[in-house]
Amino acid sequence: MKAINKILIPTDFSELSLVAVEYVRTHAISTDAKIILFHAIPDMFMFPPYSNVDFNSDTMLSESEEKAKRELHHIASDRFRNNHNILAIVRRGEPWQEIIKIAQDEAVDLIIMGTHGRTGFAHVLMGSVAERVVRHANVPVLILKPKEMQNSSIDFHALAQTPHGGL
Amino acid sequence: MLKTTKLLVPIDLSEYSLEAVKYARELVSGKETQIYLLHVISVESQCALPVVDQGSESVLREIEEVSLAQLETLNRKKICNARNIAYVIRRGLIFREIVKFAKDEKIDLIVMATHGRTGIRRALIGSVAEKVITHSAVPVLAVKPQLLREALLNENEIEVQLHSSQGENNNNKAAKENNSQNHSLELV
Repeated sequence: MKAINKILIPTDFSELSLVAVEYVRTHAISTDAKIILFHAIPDMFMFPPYSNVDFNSDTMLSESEEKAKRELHHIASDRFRNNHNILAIVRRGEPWQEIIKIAQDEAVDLIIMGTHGRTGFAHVLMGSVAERVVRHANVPVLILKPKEMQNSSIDFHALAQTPHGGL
Repeated sequence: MLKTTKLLVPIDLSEYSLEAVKYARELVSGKETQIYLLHVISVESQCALPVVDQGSESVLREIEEVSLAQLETLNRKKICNARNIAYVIRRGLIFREIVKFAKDEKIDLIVMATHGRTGIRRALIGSVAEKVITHSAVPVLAVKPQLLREALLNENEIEVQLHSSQGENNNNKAAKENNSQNHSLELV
């Protein structure tokens, strides 16, 4: 039997990322698995043209970190009550890279996260954190879709129109 | 361990897809779990007119039979014979049949190898896995081949090493990084 001892749930606090929290709450059998709630704060002032400007970004980022930590704690107490041991971690950096790193550092067994499954131009524009995590992570990744998509029917006719299924 | 009762493992008869089957079997507990092994025979041309002639139809039938026999052999030899495993053969565009099957059969979870017959050299994720992840409303658990996992681990370690050696040259930067990375705290 595969023991899943550590589960990583990256969150950007969106509704979608909380789908993963909900999934773990309802689907994890062993309650003694450790859950890591993780948030990465992108350091947006690292790059030109802002790199030369003194935004006092460190103060700003520390504030964001504090806020993120509070939010993670809130999720932990709100959704998991007391039946799990939960670790809340906030780091700075590009979200997908930090997710890969924390998964390795903490030796997690599974990453669970949501994605919209966007395709086409919007996909290219926004990128997808989940997609990059699936590509680069060296642990299994469980990908969840938003609730509304789970219930709606998929338009196979529309899929058939695009020769490669929209990818 | 996850609570799931209906599991779908798409299988292209490659070693990698067998790893996913093994993973799936270890992942779920309980005898009431049903695992479907789905093999899709790739029929790419989706012609609007039913122009399939008798010849190619019989060829496809034969391929289906051979595939089913292969699935059964693989199960017996490599996955240990288990009663809760069902084999399904479909024809069509591979990713579409997988997504469709999962939806029609009300599958709880798709456990899928990120790579299949094309191997792991070309990309970090195979095209079929990518499309299934994009289009499936059912949760997808993407499992990387062991070989690729190890390669990625090494690659990431090298990257970390490079990172830290740069940091030695620039103490300021390293200090800042350390500072930012140690903000974890334990709850309960």
